[in-house]
Amino acid sequence: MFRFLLWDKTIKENELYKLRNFSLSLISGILLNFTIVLIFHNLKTSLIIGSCISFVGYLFLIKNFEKNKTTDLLSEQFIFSSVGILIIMTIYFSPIMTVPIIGWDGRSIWFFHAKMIYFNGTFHIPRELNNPAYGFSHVDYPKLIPVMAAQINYLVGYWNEYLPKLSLWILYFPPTIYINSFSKRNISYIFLLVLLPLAFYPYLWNGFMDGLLALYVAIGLLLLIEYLENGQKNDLLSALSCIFLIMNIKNEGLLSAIALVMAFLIYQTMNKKLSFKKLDLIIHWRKLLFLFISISPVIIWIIYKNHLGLVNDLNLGSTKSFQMLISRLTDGSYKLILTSVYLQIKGMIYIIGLIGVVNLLLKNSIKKELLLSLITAIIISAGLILIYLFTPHDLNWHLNSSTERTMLVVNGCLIISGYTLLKHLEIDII
Amino acid sequence: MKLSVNTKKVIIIFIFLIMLLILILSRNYLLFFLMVLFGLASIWWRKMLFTLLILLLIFSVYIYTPISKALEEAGVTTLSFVSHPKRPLRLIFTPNSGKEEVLSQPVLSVLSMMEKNNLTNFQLSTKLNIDDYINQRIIEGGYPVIYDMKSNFYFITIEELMNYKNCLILDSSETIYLVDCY
Repeated sequence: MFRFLLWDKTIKENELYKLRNFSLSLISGILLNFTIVLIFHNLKTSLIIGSCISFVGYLFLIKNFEKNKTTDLLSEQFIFSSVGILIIMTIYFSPIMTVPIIGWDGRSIWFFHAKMIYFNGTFHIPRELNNPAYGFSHVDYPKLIPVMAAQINYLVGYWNEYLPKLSLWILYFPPTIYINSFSKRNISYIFLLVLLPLAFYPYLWNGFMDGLLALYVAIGLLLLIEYLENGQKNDLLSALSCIFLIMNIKNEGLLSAIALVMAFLIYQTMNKKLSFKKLDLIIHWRKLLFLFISISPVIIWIIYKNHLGLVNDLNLGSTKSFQMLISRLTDGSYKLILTSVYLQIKGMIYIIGLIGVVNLLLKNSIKKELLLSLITAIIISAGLILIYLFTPHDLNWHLNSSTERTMLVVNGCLIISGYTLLKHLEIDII
Repeated sequence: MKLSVNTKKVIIIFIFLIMLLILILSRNYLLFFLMVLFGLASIWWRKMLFTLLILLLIFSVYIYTPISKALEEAGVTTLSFVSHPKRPLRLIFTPNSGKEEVLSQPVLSVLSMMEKNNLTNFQLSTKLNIDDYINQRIIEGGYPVIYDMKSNFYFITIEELMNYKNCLILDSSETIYLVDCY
């Protein structure tokens, strides 16, 4: 269905882009499925509607496949990438699926929400969401993963401590495909493949969503840079789909999405490339419909949350939070925050510095697309520092229990910076 | 972005000093030594700079990122799954599996009493409520049995029995009792 909404003659569809377009379809399908649940609430109804849409989509796909049938053999790169995707996903399967839900966030937040949705057979669970005893579970958090997990368990008809994690495994598919679509026999690709997402350990498969969020932010950024380099609409649409998805993973996703869009606009303004003429990408009704469907889950969730009166424990924007901000700026607590943040990103800063120095020594230029990832990293870091300045919780406890996880997103942006620099370095040297 | 020679030199020295500072502050003396060698090579041994960069990158990624641990865990679990696939597959496809591996004994006792007595709602005593490791696991592990502040059914510790002497004892484990305060 999204193929119908997005495609036009200018969209590339060679073998490399077939992989990326497949991944784009997967993410769009995940978002569409989530939107259907948010609209219809009932798991059974939404599964029937989702299946019907998928069936129609498959018919379109088969029709399109038969129309464009060619006898060309698949390239070596395509085969290697596909085998690579299968191997990586098989490796991810065991640590995700053979270990029960252990991590606190997984048990108390994401899969507990999934359990509530599964046992009620509906997304509409006001009794649980408004129960003060469930306050520890942060019931106001986004519900993409809980809904997916509840749907999986609803399909098999039982609950246990393993199967809900299949939702996590499914969500690792699109980023893995995107990473493999960049495959080349060079050092920069190995750098990307090794660090994404393994640098986000131990928050990859223990039920925390921070690793997944950081991975999607990094992929979104990578695709935006690819769009700036090659100007292909596929990459921009793929990046947008990642941005829309991250807003539904967890609250920090909203900050990351804003940072990515802001960084892109700042970069385009700096390069004087921001013009209304380029809006032709979105002014077509089909693309507007794509944007509308993609952004609707987050909007529906915000409306639903407000309707039920669910508030975040951080109470950002309240008078008390501003008093806290002033007190932390004056009593020197900000130094504690900056130190804690620095400790989480020092390794990646060092690695980027290393590649940057060699870039400057061996080449007379630095790739300007690097700015995009650096601006994104700076905006996200600033946002997180601000949240820590506002927090009503004990600062030491909040920093110790979260900076290692929240700064993964920034590390993801820095990995993309390193990849961009390394790729630029390799162009003439190898 | 094209840079002038002087700007380039200033930027290189600045980045280099920051990197050395990071290494000193994090007490990575091996990497510090390698960085100094790298700095010397950049002056006299320019042709080998890219190879040196790769070597330093391998060291840095190993030291500063958790990928070795991630690979180890992925490797161990994959090997275990491939060599004995029956048990994990049985657990994945068995209703209610996995609780015993995750929840503590007191929590499991409470969940077992909930099931045995067909509870639909419950409350926890003050002592059980104070301990987040216990109350959160009981609340999420026991779901769909609802934590209801108006419920007559209380889970209490053995030390609190005196406070609930007017309630009827329905069930008990070693240290936890289920009482009905109707």
